[in-house]
Amino acid sequence: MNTIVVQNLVKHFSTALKANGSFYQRIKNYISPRHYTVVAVDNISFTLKAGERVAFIGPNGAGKSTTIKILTGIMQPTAGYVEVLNQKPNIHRKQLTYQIGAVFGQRSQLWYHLPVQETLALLGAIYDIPSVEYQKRLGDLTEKFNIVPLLNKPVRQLSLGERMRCEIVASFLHKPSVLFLDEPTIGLDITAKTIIRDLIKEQSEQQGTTLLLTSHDTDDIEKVCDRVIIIDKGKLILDDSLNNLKTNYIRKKVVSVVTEEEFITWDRVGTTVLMRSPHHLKIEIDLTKNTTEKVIAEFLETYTLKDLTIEGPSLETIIQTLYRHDITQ
Amino acid sequence: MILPNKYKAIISMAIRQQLVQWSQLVGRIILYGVIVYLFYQVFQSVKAEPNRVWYLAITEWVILSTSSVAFQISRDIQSGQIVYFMLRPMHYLVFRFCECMGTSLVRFILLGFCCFLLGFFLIGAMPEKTYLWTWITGILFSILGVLLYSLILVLIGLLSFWIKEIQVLVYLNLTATFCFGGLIVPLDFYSDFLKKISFCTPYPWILWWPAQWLTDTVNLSHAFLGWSFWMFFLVICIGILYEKCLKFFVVEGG
Repeated sequence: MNTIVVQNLVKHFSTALKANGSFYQRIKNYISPRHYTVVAVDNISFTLKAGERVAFIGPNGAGKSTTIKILTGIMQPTAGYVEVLNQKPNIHRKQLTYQIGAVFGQRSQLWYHLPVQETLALLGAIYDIPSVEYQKRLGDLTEKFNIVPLLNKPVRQLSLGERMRCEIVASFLHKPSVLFLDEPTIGLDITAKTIIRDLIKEQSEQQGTTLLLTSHDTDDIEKVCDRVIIIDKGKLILDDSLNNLKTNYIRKKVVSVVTEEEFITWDRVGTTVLMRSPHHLKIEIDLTKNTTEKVIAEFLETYTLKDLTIEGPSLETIIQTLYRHDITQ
Repeated sequence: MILPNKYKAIISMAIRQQLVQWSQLVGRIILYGVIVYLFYQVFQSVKAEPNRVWYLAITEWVILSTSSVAFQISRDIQSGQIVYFMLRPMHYLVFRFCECMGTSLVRFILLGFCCFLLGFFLIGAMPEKTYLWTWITGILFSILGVLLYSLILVLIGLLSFWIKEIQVLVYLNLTATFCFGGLIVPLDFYSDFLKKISFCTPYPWILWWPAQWLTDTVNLSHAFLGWSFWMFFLVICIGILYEKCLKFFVVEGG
């Protein structure tokens, strides 16, 4: 079952031109301003199934936030079709709010001076959760996210990691079917990041919550998501599984060899020597011109190998390459 | 009209949040005390009647009780935090208004005690009208004044969608309250022309009406009709403006 359907989504913004020049021109522009159109989202289509965990990424200004605001019903699309949980967000925004949730890493939904428990109780009231049901969910979530000792602490006394755990509990409290996560681990240390990622993934798996994650941290994507959608300048440039992304979009690999021979000479098509020292050679293979198998076979023919390692680029490098449109279409 | 439980819960949260911020409350009480005492000295030096001090104590009580909801709304709009609230099953403006009511209620009760203690301590007597029902209705009218003033602040806050800095508007509003609401001097002291202008604004129904009711005479039905008109007018204006804001928000992003 599809939880999110986006077909040929387009969003234009009309922005007033800022007037420069004489006082008269400025007044004229103020009275009758000239506008120009900015294409924020340019004909994108994708669908998300129930329980899918999808990274929705792109460079700054790519149109991610605009798309998410359209999906939540806060903005109206210029053209195209959007459906979230079988409802049109711009028409059924209020009904949809009961079924969606959001975590914004750089914002807080907790009341700063009051204990966490009070905000959670307020959210229970806002989402009309029956008292018994609320107590049950609160018990489950607080135990799972290990925030029981934090419940009576004022939010201002919490560390960022503790606060984020509470924020996520607050977002899961009404059992949303779709959760939008915007930089949920921003500013956290490595341990806190790992905990948050694991908890989000576990909760999504257990509840069948569809996740749409926006993050510049590729570890968030790798640890939480199974699928990646990349947009740039409003256009969808990639929609694929994380595994496919790692295997299909790698243009370069690095091979390091340790040989019995002290001196290694190497000059083959599609390879670049990165480091050379006695018994050791590190080369980069351009996979569009040569293959790893061929290069290794040639090594084995010429030298006696003691050790061999093959490294692929990190997800970050792959995504950076995609952002630069440096990939063969 | 029955307020849904979620909004009652917001009022209750705002009350608790305000009580936790006790230093802010103490600061406000000190400010209130200083203002009333200073004007008491001024009124004494010009041998003004004691009711003038009571009048000022009541108008200041209403003004200092009202929460600065305009800045809160402005901050939400400027920072984009408004998106977070719009993703919840509640009306953003009702949420902020309820929060403002909770905060104002705590201040209103505390400053109310200060008003009567200070007034009694300085003047040594209650205002001339000391019937219990006069006081109860006077307090109710003061609450209505806070409600009306809060609505004006909500309206100003919403203008943040267009005007990036609303501070100027807030100060202009304060000046208008001072001049047209009769913050220090009752409107009866104004010239006919100025009085007419004042009564064309909502400000007399925020300050002059409750204070005048407790210290002098006022036509209750006229006052209540005027207050109702301005409440209705402001609610309609806010409703229209909010719809426009949402459209603007949709267009411009945010």
